Amino acid sequence: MSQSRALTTPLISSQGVSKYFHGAHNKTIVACEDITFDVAPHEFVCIVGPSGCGKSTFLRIVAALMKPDMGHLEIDPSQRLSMIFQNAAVFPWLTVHDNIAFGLTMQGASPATIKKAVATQIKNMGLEHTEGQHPKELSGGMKQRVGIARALAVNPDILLLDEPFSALDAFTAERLRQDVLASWESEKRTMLMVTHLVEEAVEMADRVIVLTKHPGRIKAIVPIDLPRPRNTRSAAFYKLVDHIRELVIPEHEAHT
Amino acid sequence: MRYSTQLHTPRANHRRHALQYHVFSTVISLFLFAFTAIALLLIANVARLSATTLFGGFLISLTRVSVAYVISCVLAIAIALLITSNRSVEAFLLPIFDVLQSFPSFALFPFLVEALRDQPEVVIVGVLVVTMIWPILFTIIGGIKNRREDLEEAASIFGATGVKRLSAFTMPSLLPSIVTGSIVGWGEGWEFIIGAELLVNARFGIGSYLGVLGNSHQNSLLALGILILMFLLFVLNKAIWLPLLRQSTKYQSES
Repeated sequence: MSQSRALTTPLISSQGVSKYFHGAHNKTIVACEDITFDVAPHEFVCIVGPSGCGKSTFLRIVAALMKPDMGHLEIDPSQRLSMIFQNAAVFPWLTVHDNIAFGLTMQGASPATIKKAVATQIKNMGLEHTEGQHPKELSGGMKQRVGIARALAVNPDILLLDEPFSALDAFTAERLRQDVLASWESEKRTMLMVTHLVEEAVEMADRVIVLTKHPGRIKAIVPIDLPRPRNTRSAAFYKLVDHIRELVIPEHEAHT
Repeated sequence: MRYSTQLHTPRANHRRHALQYHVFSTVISLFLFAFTAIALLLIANVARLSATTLFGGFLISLTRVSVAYVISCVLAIAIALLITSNRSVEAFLLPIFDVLQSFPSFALFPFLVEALRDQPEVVIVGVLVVTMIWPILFTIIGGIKNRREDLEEAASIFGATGVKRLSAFTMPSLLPSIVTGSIVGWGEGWEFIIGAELLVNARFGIGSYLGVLGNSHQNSLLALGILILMFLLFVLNKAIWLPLLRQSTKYQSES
């Protein structure tokens, strides 16, 4: 993280956030514990960790879909927040156009504003000629494009991404990664992404937060100082990938 | 040139086929209605019943079932949303409704007839509601339980709250369950209205006419009447429920 970012007031501040669930026989399951870090304006932060480390749970706490059991999470209330989901989560009963317009419609935006925003997103995401189609008529990649377009249409200040490319084929995933990065760079949004793909995290993030498994605690925070656009075939890139993977993999091995 | 090119796009073809299907479906439905009307006229003539009275009887029964259906559907949606709103409420209410749904509706008849002596219409609709509500209620509860969690989260993230959530998310997401439960509930309603109309000695209604035919031992006419009733229900199913069911598949989420 650069010096200027460190001095700026964080947009997201997580202080000792913990979340517990009740399992069978009243057994307490720790989803994530004592998560403490800040996200500065315009920063791209990735949370990586093995399956079950509570990274998606933490993202849902940030999105105010869940409340933490301990600690507190602060988000600048003036910031608009949006989210991209792993399986697109587009509404099957709405057309592509209406899915993209959903957030703006809920905000009570004017028809002219909605029309303009949807047209922009349709063009940017390459969804021309699909406006009248329903999600069932689209491929997985196209559905995810609709999900991304819906998230960007509300012009968010903070964008949360929950493993947005993991259900896609490699080519589509790479294209969409570039689209999201382009949107981050051009609009200077703040991004918090959860992924289990280390390469993806190193390609996109300013900082990578590595979580342990059961319970999900912060194991390391790795700054990614590679210049952008990142060369994903460079030695420096692989060095960072290997370093982060070593932090993550022992957790995998220890529990499999 | 451009226009003709657009006509041959897959989407244009799809729309044309959909339109052709709707036209075909409407023609078939109209034909079935016409056929049913002629059959009703014939049976009325042979049975020496007034055709208008017979049509009126069917319409009265249809109205009773429809009113009971609307009440059942609204109640079922409200109760399902209430039950699933909170785990404690669910743990308390669900077993109660589970027991209640197995209670035979006709067992309520003596109480309802006694309590509402001068209001046979209320008795009939009341018994129908008690019958029709259960399949709708439990199918909707199943629909809520199986609803994709990420869709709910997306609705929340994008600001669907309060009344807006009800119209923009809750109702569309539950439509497949509502339609499926309604088809079962509607069928049960017709099953029960015959008995209900007979038991309260209703002056009008398809059940009353079948009763008249049965009491006067006109068995072949009774059999024909039952066939016509089945045919009418088939027509209603074809004209209303099947198109709704087809439409509701659009609303179904892929897991």
